[in-house]
Amino acid sequence: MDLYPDEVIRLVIIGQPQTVLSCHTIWVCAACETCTTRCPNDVKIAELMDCLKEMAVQKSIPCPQPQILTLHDGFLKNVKRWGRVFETTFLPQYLLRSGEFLRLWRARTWRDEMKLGWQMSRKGRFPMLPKTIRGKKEVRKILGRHKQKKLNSPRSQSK
Amino acid sequence: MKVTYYPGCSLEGTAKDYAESILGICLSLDIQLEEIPDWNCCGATAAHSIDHRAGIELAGRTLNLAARLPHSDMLVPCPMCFNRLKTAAWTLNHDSSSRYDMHLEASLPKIWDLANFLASDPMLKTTAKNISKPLEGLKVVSYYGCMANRPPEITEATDFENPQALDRIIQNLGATAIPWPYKTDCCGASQVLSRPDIVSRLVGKLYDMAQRVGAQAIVVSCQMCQANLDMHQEKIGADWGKRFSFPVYYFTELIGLAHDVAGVEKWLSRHITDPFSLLKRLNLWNSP
Repeated sequence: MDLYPDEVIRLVIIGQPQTVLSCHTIWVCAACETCTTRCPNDVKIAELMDCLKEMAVQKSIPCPQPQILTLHDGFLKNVKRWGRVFETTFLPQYLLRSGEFLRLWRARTWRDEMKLGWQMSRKGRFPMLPKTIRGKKEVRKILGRHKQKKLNSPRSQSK
Repeated sequence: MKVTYYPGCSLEGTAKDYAESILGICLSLDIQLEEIPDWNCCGATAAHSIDHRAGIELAGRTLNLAARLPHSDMLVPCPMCFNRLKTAAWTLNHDSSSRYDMHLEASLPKIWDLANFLASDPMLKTTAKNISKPLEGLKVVSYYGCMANRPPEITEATDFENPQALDRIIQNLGATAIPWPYKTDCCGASQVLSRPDIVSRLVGKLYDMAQRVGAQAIVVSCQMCQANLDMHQEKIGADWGKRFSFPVYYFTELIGLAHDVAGVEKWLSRHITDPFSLLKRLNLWNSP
């Protein structure tokens, strides 16, 4: 977190979009809603973080936490494909697309992740087939309004 | 009693144990679940993070499908789905509704977080009536996470800083719910894939406190919290220089155990951190 949440709000108020839209804070916010719940001034802080993330994506501002954007983007692509999330393909696709698997490979800890994945599938927690829905078209329409931003490759962004 | 049911995507996949335990106890509690036909994903964190309108309308579509069923109550076991459905209902019913390509049906069912539903007085009574094996000696902390309670203007929770639903259910089963300060502190599940370092700090803090208050296990109602707390204990323990070994039970699994419902062994065997040893030690497990 490079800016405190109150700094993000202040920078929005004084009109410094370039600073807030490229900061780490808006991306590492886990959306736990604690700040929104407790803010004595009724500022919807978590909702504002979402709004700033969306603006950053729409303005194609390079994401300083590329793996987080890759995760969200992959999730929505998966929903578009099936109408529901199919975790069995979503999780490995994320690991590959985000460069996370490469990181694990380099850190020599990829075996731990594979072991966990193997355990999960042995325990029946990764179904073989997705449950798709009849209303896929509606779901695709809902998700298709934003023009799809082409994500830059994570490694080129992560400087 | 017949109710509308929205399981959500992960209950069809990684949270199969939660899904099965819900079906198991609903039989013993005489609740008939009617799944919303053709429901879709609520959009979860991804949609509300980078595509706000889609987040509202994805949940809105499912709400309109739910409105076609005749039941007055709708149960949602996943707190994330619950939160997104409540947010969509709130947003589409307020003045900002004209910004969305969607109108809500007027006859929506009441949207319930499953734990809150089962902690209501009549349900607690039914639960108590069916107990064949009280969970005496089991000392746990209840962990609610974020989404079932916050923000309260959306969730309509009144005890959002110190929720009681799980505690009431646990005590009702004969177990002890130890009071502790981290009931609603975030475990960081939405970042578990992208920033495991953050998660290690957040979850380690929970384990550490659970250990200090003398809990033997953690009880949850959220499948993201469950996975997040159950799957990486060894690694997080190593980060913290400690050894953590907490079974992380769904509250529905404990109800099933106390009711001696068929299938408990199958549900628990899907966990990663050993859920059986503790129950054996407490003489709460007498399986073949």
